[in-house]
Amino acid sequence: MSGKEEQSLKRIDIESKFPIGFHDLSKKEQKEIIKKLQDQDIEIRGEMKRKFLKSQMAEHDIAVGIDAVHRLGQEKKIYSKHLNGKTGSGNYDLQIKGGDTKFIIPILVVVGVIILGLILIVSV
Amino acid sequence: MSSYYDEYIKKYQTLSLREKYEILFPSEYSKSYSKSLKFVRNEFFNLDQLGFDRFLYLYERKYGPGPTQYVKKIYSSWRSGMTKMVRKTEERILICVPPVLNKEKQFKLLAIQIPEIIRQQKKGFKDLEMCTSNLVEVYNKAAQNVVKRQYNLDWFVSEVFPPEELEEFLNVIKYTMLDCLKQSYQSVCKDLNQLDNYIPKTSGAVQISYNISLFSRNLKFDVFPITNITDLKLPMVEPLFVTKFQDYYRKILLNHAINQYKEEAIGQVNSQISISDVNAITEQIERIGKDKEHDTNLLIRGFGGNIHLHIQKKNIGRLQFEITKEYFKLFLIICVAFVGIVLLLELEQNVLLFFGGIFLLSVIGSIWERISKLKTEVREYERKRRTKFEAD
Repeated sequence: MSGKEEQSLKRIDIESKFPIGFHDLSKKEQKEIIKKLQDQDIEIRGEMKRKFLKSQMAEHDIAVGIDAVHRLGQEKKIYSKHLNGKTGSGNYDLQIKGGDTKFIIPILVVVGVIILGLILIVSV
Repeated sequence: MSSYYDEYIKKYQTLSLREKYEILFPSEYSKSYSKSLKFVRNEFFNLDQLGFDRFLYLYERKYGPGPTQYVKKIYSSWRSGMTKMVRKTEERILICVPPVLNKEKQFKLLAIQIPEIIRQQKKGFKDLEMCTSNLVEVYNKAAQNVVKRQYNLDWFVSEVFPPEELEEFLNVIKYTMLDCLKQSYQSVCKDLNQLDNYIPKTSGAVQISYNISLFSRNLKFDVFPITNITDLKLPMVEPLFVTKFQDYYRKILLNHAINQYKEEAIGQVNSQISISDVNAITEQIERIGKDKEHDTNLLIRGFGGNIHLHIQKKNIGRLQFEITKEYFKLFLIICVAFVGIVLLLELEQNVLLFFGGIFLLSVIGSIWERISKLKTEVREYERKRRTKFEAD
């Protein structure tokens, strides 16, 4: 999320955006329209800054959440973490799962039980 | 049955125009009609002496001196709320009050119909099949629908406003809708052209769906990348203004143009922020780690629609381990069951063998189901990694 977005609205050129029939209006009405367009432009710029800040906050929240996940991973716990929130452009919903993946222990248990079962069958 | 039908027809014929309208268009009745009625009643009770005299003159010409005398007599009771106006009188007032109102108020009354017309226009878009291969056709069909559609306005509108005023009114609304279609098409094309920028660069599975804002419908990606994006040529003819409302229409079109300009600017902002959001969130989820799983849903806004990104990362190793574990479990149960069956046969415990068999089959069935589910999960994940686009 760089500051490039802020520059983009500089492209807006009010004069080229005058609606059809603009020049048929009275001077007063033309002034009103120009004012409306300028107000709108300022409103959009403000909205853009708000959205940009919201995105930065969302990015920070996700980063904090993922750091917490890393800590849980170091404690070798099985966990599930749910993060959700709003960004400048919409919203996000993130579900992270992880934990101790020592597969060998349950495998050894299962194999042991099978061997015991087979011994039992043979002895019967 | 036939007697009921005859009775119904007889009853229907005696109904007033408004009651018939209520039966024919029940959903349309409650919204714009009740708003119009409220507006006209309010204006009726706030008429000045000159306006009230003009209203009485019109009322007498239309309904005769008897009902007019009644209106004169009871007007103050209606106004104070002591007497409730009957439906028939309400209808008459709805017809006779608007002509005595000034131009601005008459236009306000007509403008109450606008949301209903837009609703009817959008209703016409429901049957359109939205695919990337036929985007131009979809918009052309939508435009044809807007132009050729017969709009059901409230019953009193045609009684109050002459046909040329109604035609001009509908032409202005059609023109604005066609312009919205044109802008939506351009915006959707911009989004499709830069769809690659919205796709996160990740090793997991990414699924994308796109919802066109104007239609509130998902776009099916049957062709991608789209090579046949052509210019949309809509039958747009700027409406001619001839009636007394022409100043209002000019204002409507000016405001519409200003709003379109705003939408375009907002679309541009949305698109840029969306791309930077996708990049930032992808960067973060890449930090999660290879051994962990995540399921991320991102809803972002483009120029002309909403983009839903579903990013998934599964630990294939874990899934394969789960499958192996379930196979071991199944093998173990079969072994134990075999021993049990042999023992029960030797002891001739047939009843126990029967019920035990049923229980055993259900356990094996549930384990098998879990194995299939896990296998499907792996297959589905691999499929999602290969294909990105999701149909609606």
